[in-house]
Amino acid sequence: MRSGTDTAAPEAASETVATETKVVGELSESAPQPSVTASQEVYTVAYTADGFSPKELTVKAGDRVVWVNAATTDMWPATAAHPTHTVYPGSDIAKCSEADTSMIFDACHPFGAGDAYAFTFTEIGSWKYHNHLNVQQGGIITVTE
Amino acid sequence: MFLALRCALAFSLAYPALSALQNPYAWIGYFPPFVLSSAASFGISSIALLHTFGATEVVLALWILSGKKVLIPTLISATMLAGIILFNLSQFDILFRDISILIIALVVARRAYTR
Repeated sequence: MRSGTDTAAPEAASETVATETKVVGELSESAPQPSVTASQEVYTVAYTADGFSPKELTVKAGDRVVWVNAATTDMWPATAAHPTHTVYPGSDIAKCSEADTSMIFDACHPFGAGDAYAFTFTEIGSWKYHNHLNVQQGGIITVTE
Repeated sequence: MFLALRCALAFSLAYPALSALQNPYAWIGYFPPFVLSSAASFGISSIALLHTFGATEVVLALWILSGKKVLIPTLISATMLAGIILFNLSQFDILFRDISILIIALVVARRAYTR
């Protein structure tokens, strides 16, 4: 398994997303879809009252990470640093007003219980992120070749 | 110098309150979860809490600028700043500036006390 220390298998993760959550963001029908290859895997990060789990996750470039809100409060995953969200290349909270937000690592609005936000990582590196609505909660996505 | 320090502190208090009017979600995240949940239990939304906090900051800023009994608002400001720092240590790269502002508040408070 290529993921971090506390990660479900990618196949199981994608089933969860498909059956129990409403995935928005780049998975929505209106948003442009990234090219999906046969080798792309989908990983799930659960959001609960305790924050994100797993807190650290390692994926390969081109893999997709889905944050599923399993809490009763809203979440807003976004790349560091708060509040501008500019660390992941190309990201900026100012771009949330644009029509296509699929290429920025920023949920751009609160996601309620049961909803999910997805993002496909293409940039190699170690990317810190946080919950824009509670900056004490965060995690790291490490993207390798 | 005393006026300059008061202006610096007042600006630091007023800016977040005014910025929150345009971009509230940039500031809500600094509230500790237990504060948000406590407010919610009383039917107070996070946005309402944010703007109430912001209104308090504006009042404190104007009070400090007025120069009258400055000890009180500066001590309140110092307490608020200390709380913000302590509850958001994970964001220290952003909040390290608040330590400087906290020191300014304490210096102004001391000056007001010894006057």
